[in-house]
Amino acid sequence: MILKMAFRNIFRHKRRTLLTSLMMLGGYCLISFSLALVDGSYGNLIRFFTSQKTGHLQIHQKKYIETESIHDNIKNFDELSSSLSRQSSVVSFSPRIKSGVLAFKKEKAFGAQLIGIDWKKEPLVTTIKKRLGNGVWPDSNGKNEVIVGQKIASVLQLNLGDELILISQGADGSIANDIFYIKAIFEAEDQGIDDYSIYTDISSAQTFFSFQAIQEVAIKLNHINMVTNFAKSFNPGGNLVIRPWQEVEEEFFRAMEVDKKGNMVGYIIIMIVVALGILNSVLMSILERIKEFGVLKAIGTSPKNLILMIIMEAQFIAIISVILGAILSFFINLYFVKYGISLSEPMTYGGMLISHIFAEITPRCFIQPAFIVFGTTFLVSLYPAVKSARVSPIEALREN
Amino acid sequence: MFILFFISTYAFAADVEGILDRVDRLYRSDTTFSSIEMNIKTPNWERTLKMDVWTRGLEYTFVVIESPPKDKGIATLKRKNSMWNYFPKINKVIKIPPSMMMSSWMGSDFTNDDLVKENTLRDDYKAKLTLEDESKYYISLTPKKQTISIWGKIELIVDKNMLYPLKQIYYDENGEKIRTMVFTEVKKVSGKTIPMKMTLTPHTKEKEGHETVITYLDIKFDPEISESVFSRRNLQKRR
Repeated sequence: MILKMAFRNIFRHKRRTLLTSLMMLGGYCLISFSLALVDGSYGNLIRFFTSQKTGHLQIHQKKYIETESIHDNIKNFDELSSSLSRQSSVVSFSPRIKSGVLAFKKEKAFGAQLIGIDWKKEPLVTTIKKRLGNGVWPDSNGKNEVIVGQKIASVLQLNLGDELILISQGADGSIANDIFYIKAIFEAEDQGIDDYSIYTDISSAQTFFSFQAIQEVAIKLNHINMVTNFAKSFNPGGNLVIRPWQEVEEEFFRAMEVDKKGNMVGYIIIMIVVALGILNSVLMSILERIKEFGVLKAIGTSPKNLILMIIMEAQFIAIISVILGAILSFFINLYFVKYGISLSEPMTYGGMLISHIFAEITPRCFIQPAFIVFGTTFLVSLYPAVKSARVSPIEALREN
Repeated sequence: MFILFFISTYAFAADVEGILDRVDRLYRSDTTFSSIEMNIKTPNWERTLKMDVWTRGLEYTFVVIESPPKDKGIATLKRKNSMWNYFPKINKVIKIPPSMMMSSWMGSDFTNDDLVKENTLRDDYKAKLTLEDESKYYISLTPKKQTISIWGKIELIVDKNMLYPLKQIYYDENGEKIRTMVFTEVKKVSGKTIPMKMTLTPHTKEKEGHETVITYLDIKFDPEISESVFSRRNLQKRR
């Protein structure tokens, strides 16, 4: 009976219903879209970040994290390597060596970081190979072959095939010095990531720095969401520690968290605006019918049933709006997943160049706004419902 | 009485200057040629370098590393206040900038400045004889006003009979002990009595467990050494 009345009320005043549901629909889509954008920009940022350099997790010697000393290294990589290969969630992993060098070309010098990598394994963990501009990816046989960043190349005026002199401190106290050959140069577009990096193969780097260990293992898992669990469950053994990217790139992660909190403010404002909009239309649609409710009460409807009817009515509109809103915002979000919003001025974040913000469709893009619409509709309809239930029929009828 | 006192202090002043001059020139003569072994120990690594050293007065020094094979041919040339390193593998001469003077020389606990030795004890430090016993002089040295030195004070202990140094303790401006050099294995070589072994131990925290020992395998005083040995061209010669 009440259900029926609620339905009847909805379809009786089509314009009023349309207005209220449009408000809810718009609010739903707005929240859904802004969530998709937030998730998208950070999700992309994280994916970007982990796939460019960090990997999902990294293993170091415990002391290395503080000292970054060449002496605090991973000595038994073979053992670590075999225990990593046994893990089903590990897609790939790559050993690395890193240390500062001074790069010379004729009289010009440039401070850089020499990174020894496994030419075959590294591209399985990061996008390094895709960033290549000029030249070819070196094979594993050549000695002292390097790939340099665009910045180093332009400052030292390096071309493919050129000799590059590197000087540094060897692990045995000697002065490391040798000639390296430019095999490839990174793409200019990826400035920031490879600016100060010179890549060579592990064994050349080991010979150059006169030591036999490795310093870092970067790991890629099946999915980035598995990192925390994997870091907890996998024991690298000995004095080694495994850390997820959130710890490895703590600064970036923290900055991102702060940024997220800042965005939260905007997000809450959007929610309030949506709630106020719903409040407005629901309130209006109920209060303008006070007379009607007075009649209902006069013919003997109990206040409880009246409240139930009003709330149901509002919730029906909300359900329809949420369903329509979910469908609509799915397509809106899909568009921005594909095309993104281009920034008029590209910005760098955590050393990465960002020119587009892409949306991402996550479950919470649909669940959260639904909750907000239902919740605010309920809260907002509660007050006029109670008010109209309490109104005495005589006063309500007299009001004009 | 007064005159006597004056004479005695004057005599002593001359005396200390003489000692310092002797210490300054002990290993240097007009020209010298020596073979040196340098053993460097740190908590993480240890290595031994063998090198040939040519000197001329206090102003010119030329060093070539002979072993280990990896470092063979690396050379250092010091002319007056300038210093260059040469690396044969990359065929490159690198001038040591003033800012690098206090950096380690070839990974040892000696600094580039120790090699350049712009300062002499006699000319750049104020000396005071603090103690004198039967066999040793204890001399305290503080840099003169115009002297640019990183040391706030140097304590020098000299053998009284043969006037060679036994120990040198270096302090910074805050009076903190930075490093100690001990001279041992005294031998008579080419007519001079000198300690053949020098052990340098830094006391700073970041250099804990470090030690550099220099041993003279051979030293010749006043051999014929042509001026061209100390030229940039000679430095850059591939050996």
